[in-house]
Amino acid sequence: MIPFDFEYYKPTSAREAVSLFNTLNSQGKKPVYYGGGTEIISFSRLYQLYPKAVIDIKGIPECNVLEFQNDHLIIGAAVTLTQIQESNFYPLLSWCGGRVADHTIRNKITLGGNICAKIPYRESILAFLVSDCEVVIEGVNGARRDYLKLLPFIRG
Amino acid sequence: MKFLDKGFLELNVNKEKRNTVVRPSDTLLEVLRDQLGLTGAKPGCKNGDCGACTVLVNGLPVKSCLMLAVEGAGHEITTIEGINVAPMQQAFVDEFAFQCGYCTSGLL
Repeated sequence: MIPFDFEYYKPTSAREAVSLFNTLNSQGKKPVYYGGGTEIISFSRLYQLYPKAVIDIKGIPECNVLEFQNDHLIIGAAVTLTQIQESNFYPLLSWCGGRVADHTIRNKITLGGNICAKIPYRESILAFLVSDCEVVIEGVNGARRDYLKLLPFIRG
Repeated sequence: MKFLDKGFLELNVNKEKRNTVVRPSDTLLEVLRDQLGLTGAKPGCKNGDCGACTVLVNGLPVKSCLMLAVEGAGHEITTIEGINVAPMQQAFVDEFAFQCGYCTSGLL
């Protein structure tokens, strides 16, 4: 059981999510983005994390993309490790991600959450460290691409 | 969609529409057990390790202790009560595959 209450938001666009985050943050609600939520729920249960609001990103279409576009493999932050493993577009990523937790939790754990996690079981990062990857981040001024700048995320 | 405080939530459980009153921070496991009386899914570690609380969400096994009830809105949830003598259940009976049985519904 989570021993406190929080507000749950499920925006339908990345822009809406970011502006929600800013609003909630300025209200002192310490919002967190919510993907699979496995880590947020287990940490909240232990009172190691106590957000007053969570923003579920699973309703954002860009976060659910898993396909090739112009020779680039695009993976949304809310794509689960199971989806990645089953589509097997990038076998090394499937293999690394397939070693996280067990298969039922991998139906819930998302790639975004696994990269940004606070817990150390972030195996899917390895596949990105050895590949030519980039992250796209939505900010207050719109989307931004960062080439090979995954390291700040990994440190959590 | 927003869910700011305790309120009504309609869930599709075992092909029935069920109305619940939940806090946004309630896990699916608590709501299934305490409000809908579906006590087949069991609380074990509540940490996603043991699997005693496993249910199907859109046909995929998910640990209901690591899922919020509000996340279940619009999805098809199936608990052990909604599985009617699946081949695996019969195999468990035939092979007497139980010890105490606490986690059996999760295993199935």
